[in-house]
Amino acid sequence: MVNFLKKDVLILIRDRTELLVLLLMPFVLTAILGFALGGVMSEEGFSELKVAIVQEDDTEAGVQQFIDDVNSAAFPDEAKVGMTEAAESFQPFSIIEEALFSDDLEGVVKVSYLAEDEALEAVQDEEILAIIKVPEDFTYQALQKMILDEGEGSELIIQSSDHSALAVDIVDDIISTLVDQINLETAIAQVGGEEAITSTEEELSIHDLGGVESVTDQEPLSMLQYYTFGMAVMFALYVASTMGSKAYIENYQHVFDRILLSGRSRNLYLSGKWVSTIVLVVMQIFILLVASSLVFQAFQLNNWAYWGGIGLISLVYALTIGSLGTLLVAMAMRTKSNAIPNVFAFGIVSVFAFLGGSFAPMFQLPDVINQMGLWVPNGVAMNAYLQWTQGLGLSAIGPLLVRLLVMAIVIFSMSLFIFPKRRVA
Amino acid sequence: MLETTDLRKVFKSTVAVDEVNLYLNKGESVGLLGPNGAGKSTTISMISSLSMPTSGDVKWNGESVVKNPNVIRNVLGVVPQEIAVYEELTALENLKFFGKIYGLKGETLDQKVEDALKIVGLEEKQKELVKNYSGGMKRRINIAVALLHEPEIIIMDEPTVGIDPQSRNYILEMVRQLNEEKGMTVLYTSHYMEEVERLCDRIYIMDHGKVIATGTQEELTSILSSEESILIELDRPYPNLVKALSGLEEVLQVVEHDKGIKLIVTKGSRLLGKVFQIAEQEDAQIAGINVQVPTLEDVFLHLTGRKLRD
Ligand SMILES: Nc1ncnc2c1ncn2[C@@H]1O[C@H](COP(=O)(O)OP(=O)(O)OP(=O)(O)O)[C@@H](O)[C@H]1O
Ligand SMILES: [Mg+2]
Repeated sequence: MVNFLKKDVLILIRDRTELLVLLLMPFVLTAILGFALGGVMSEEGFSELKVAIVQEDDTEAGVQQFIDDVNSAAFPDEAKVGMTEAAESFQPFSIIEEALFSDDLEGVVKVSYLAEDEALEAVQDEEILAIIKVPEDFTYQALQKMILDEGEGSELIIQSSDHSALAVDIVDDIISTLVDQINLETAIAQVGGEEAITSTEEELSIHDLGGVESVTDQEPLSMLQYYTFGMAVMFALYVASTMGSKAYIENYQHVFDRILLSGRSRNLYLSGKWVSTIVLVVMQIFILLVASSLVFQAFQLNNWAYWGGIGLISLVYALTIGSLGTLLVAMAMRTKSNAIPNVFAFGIVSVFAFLGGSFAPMFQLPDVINQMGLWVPNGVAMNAYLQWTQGLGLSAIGPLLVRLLVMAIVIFSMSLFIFPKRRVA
Repeated sequence: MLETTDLRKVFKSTVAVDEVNLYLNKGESVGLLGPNGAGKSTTISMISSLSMPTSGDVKWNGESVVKNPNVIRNVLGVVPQEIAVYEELTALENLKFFGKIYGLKGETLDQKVEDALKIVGLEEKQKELVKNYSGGMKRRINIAVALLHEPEIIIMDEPTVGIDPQSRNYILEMVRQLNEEKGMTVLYTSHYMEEVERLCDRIYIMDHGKVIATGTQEELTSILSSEESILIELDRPYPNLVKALSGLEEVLQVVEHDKGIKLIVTKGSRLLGKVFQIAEQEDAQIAGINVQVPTLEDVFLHLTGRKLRD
């Protein structure tokens, strides 16, 4: 087995063009797609999401107006004092501001204050990603809604050009998580009174939001990370087609006959192809991720727990691609032609890659496509990589890994079935 | 020790091998001679258990190879007609790979690899990629791989196709040594008469899937004991001369080739005078003339009415 592996690896390494396709291409494409579609990139690799706050609301006036309202209403004095205190200490937008400036979002989000026209221009010029507009009377209306449960409340407006939907999604997520959280806390406050209000103030930090929305749970994905995975899973597919083509050449050059002459079994040969593909895919993904980390700083190399998970996903994915490679070998041998590996390489890989989100980010694709992506191995692996990188644990990626393993077994069985059994007539 | 009985192979519509019976005794060197498409390679692939006969059997020491291919695998070395090695690997890497699949390892492997390289004379080029080899060197590494596990019997399918005379000589000499000095049994396939004449104790001649003649070289040429051939060298083709000569009673066959024509005539017909006479009539320039005893080429011609190679 080691013998077969060594031979397959040597042959692949000697094939310059093939190597370029399998290693350099995904790297270059990662760079192109990551930077071009990124919009979240700067010189230092992954960069902050730049947002501008357009403040059209006069917070103090809003609070004052609310207090005046309260005082002129017919509440018991005690309640009036409580509500006044609450309003003074619990201004909805400043909580969001605090969160945006907190240590947790340091380096993730960069906030600046701009007037509306300046902000719009900056968005147009792609200098900033999104505008968070605080409309007039926001504080007043929000307080009324939150504390008195009166009126419609008010909404923050998030505006952006659409050059980076993913990043905007992230901003959107961060803000809406905060808003949800504030709403939740007010609901509690309304029920529990004063005490609850003060206690929430201390607790309200990004950390406490953990688990509410996955994206904000950890560092959001950069486009570069996204495409590193996208290209890794896509180009692993090419290893499978390459194995098919090389096997065809082995057959065509009669080397396969020679292997049979030695009395080695056909299934040993096929299993050898499986192992070789697995090893090649693992090496390929490893090289890509490390290169992407070193050159683009896409990933931090010293987070062992993170890399452990990535290694596991890669290995399981490699098993599936191994089976796929074996299937292509079997079909090439069966048909005595290179047609099927070629069709796979020049057609099917692109379809798979599209469904699996290697080209256009999944976030932008219709749901149907994302659903279909779960039926191609690269799509499943892609999901696993992304979820793991976003900090969802083993429990989230477990089912995806099982899915890959099932695919690996089914495809391998198919290839055993298709591989010509005995000496052909 | 190796024997085929009524071996037959039919591809869809072509009968590639038709009821072939042949045998090899230990230590013998046997030639299988035939033109393109005669069925030589197909016969070999059935003997070596790579393809299933349509009918008939191959026996190694009485055991059927068709039923149990393993009986022959470790004692058989096959040099395929094609260069069946990895072009992207070096000779050394190829030999190590194939040695290992034959279960050789460690020092034994290194030793056998070295021996094989020495036999085919590629020691100095062992670290070069096979794809950069010359045609002759590729043929030699193709042979070396088959020798690695020191087979008792080696089957070579046209091992000298398309190479220069020097490499060819080298290979022929090597085969002779393997047979005479190491006692290896050889089945040598070719469509070159000279090679088979030089190397083989016994010869099978195949055409259209059938063995059409068999025996030692003397036995085969004695088929033609009643004939001899006259080679006439000409400065250019003379169609009329050919026509005139074939009209002669003693001339059995006239064959044209690039430098002139060849007449197969009844032995002792003393035709030379007549030939010159006719040549003069036809205004043909005879550059040389030569009377030959029969060769295997002539035997083939006699049996099939065709030349071995076109
Ligand atoms: N796989 C195949 N399918 C169909 N026909 C085949 C196949 N292999 C060989 N043949 C046919 O069988 C006949 C014998 O072929 P074979 O290769 O045995 O000839 P050969 O004597 O080795 O010729 P050569 O000197 O050209 O190598 C040919 O007519 C060939 O076309
Ligand atoms: Mg042949």
